[in-house]
Order: sequence, then C-alpha cells, then structure tokens
Amino acid sequence: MPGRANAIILAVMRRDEDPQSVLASLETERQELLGEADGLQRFIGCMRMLMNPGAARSERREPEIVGLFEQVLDSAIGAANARDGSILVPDHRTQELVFLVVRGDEPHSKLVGRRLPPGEGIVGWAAQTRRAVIVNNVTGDERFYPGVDRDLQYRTESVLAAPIIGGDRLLGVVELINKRDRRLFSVGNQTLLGVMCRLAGELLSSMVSDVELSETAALVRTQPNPT
Amino acid sequence: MNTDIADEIARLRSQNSQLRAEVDAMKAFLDTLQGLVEALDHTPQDEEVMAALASSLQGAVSVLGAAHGALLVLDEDSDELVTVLGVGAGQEAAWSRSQASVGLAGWVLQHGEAVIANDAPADERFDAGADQAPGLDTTSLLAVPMPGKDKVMGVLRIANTGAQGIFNDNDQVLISLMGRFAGELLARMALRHAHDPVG
Repeated sequence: MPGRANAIILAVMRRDEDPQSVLASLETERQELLGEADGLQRFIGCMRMLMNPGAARSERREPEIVGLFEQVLDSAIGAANARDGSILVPDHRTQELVFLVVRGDEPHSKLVGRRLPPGEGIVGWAAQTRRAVIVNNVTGDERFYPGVDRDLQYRTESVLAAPIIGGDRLLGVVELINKRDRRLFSVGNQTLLGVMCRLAGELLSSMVSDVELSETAALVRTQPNPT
Repeated sequence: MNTDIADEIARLRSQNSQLRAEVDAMKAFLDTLQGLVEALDHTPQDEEVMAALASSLQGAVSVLGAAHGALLVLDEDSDELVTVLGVGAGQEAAWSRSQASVGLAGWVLQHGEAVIANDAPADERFDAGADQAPGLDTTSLLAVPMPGKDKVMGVLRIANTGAQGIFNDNDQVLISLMGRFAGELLARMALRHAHDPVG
C-alpha cells in the first residue's frame, strides 16, 4: 500500500508544519532546555559545596553526608528531567546498597534505609560493573528488581543509573526513575549523569571514608519511616 | 500564517537556540573535566596530561565566552610563573615568564585563593606584564589556584569574559573545579619526574 504510506507521511509532515504544533513543540523543547540548565546550575552549586565544605567537621557526620548526597541527587534529577530518584550508598560491612536519599512522590520516603542485596536490581548492576546504564523499558530487563514497585504500589517505567566513584572507591549509585512527560532517557542524559557522578565522586572521596559511609547507612536503617 | 504566531515561533527558536548553545557548552566543559579526572585514575603519559589540560582550558574559555585562557605553572627554581598553555585571542604567550609574586596571578599563587577582578587594570594587584597575554588588553580577569598535595602548583587565568562583561561566582566555581583536578595531575606529574636529571 505505497499510496497510503505516502499519504500518512504527508499528513504527519503537514502536522509538523502546523503553526500551533510547531509552537507547542518549541515550548516543550524550551521547558526541557530550561530544566537541563537548571540542573546544571544546581550541579555548580553542588560542586561549590563539595569544594568548600564547612570549616569545622562536626562530631556527627551523618547529617552532613546526607546533605552532600542530597545536593548531588537534586542536580542529577534536574539535569536529566527525571520525575523521581534516589541515591544508594554501600554498606561495606554487609556489601548491601542502602537507600540514603530519596526524592519523589510520597511513597518513596518509605524507601530510606531499605537495603538491597549485592548485585540486586539495576542499581546493583551499575554498582558492580561501575557503569552507567539506561533501561527505558524495565519490564523487559532481567536486571530490574520489581520488589520495590510492588511494595510501594508504584510503576517504574524507565531507569537511568550511574555509580558515584572517586579515588577508585564506590561511594554510591544514583538512580533516576521515569523521565518527565513519559519521554525516554537518552544517551546524552546517560553521558551527563556519568560525568556529574564522576566529578562529584572525586570530590566526595576526599571527604567521606568507607567507615563513615557504612555508619551513615547503618544509622538511616534505624530511623522510623517519616510516613 | 498569523503574524503573531510567526513572531512567537521565531522568538522561541532564537531563545531555544541560545539556551541549547549554553547547555551544550557547559556539558562539553564538564566532559573535558571528566577527561582530567580519568587521567587521575592511571599514570598517563605527559602528552596525555597536556592534551587533557589543553582541552579543558579551551572548554573553560568557551563556556565562559572569554577571550583568553592561560595555564601558568610555578618554576620553583627561578620563582617564576611560566605560561605553559595559552588559548584564544592574543599573541602566543606559551613559555613566557613572570615573577611568582607579581600581579593578580602572583597573588593567587601566594594566597591559594581565587580572584575575580571585573575591572582588572583598576585592581592594585594587577600587573600588565604578568596578568595579560601579549597583544590583548585585559579588562576582566578570573584567576584560580591549582592546588597540589601540599602546595599550589600554579594558576589558571581566564581573561575578558564576553557574556555579561563580568565574571560571577558560578564562573569561579567551574574554573576552580578545573584548577583542583589540574593541580592534582600536575603534582603527580612533578612527582613522577622528581628524580629526572635537569637540563
């Protein structure tokens, strides 16, 4: 049916030329660019904080460490236009990954302190291979761990994850869930997140020891869920 | 097509194009910084270090819309700052030397702190010989230290920003980030060559 195929193509092209469609498309592009620019500005703020940590180190380092990772996560969510996200940190005593910082709809706050066995889920894969990964259709990916969705009655559609590495140490994994407007995470998102995590990791590595990370992970386990 | 809609489309296209350029320049610069960090992961050849530094310096000049960028390394034997890399406008300044205590660059080296001088010639620390590339009149200047393990290895100097005409705090953060990684790379390079015969 070549004639019908051509008619469809022409209809699509005509729609693209429709001024209102062009306007809407440009507005969507603008919102996406503004989101990226905002995420990058947040990242600069995050770098400023990592380069100029408080002069005096407090006795209790956990709040400070959580604050540092919150900055990293917020800038990553903005730069990738993601809806939700979290950072998991390794507990070096048990080799588990622990949800340290979570952003998103209300049910996600229940995740703080939850532990994943070594290698579990897409974040476990990113931690073990030390590579960033995009999975735009999680149901078709055997690395996806559905337990969290089941417990939270949430629907993960797409995931972008990247390890935070510095001084050759794994300091955490950023996991971004579901891009805004049901779009797909791109290779560009993956590259940028990888760069951001690498730069932040290099600075974090001189500020946070493995022991401090594990102690922070252990502490959040004992905190009551805020919901 | 309705003229108002046509104007709106043209305006949005122009804005998006400018935004895209800014976002892309920032990403490109961050990418060059990753090159510096990755060079820290192994023991790179000197040529690789210099290529990574040159790429980052070019990225820094682009992302700030500046006219010139230079990487100055301290020669401890002569107590001079040596321009080992220069990019952008101005005549080739590579391997020129200035006293390590002179000018804004000298102040940054001595104090280990960044400086923004948006009217550089009016700053009492400014020295035309030390703070500008030959053939380029410095108007605004951003200089940051490159800290090594226990000393400042040199100074990164970016001159004449084009965007708003002034350098801001965010610009300082970006260049300081580069200075941090560049300093560590240079320190390792120096350590590797510590026992090389001089001459």
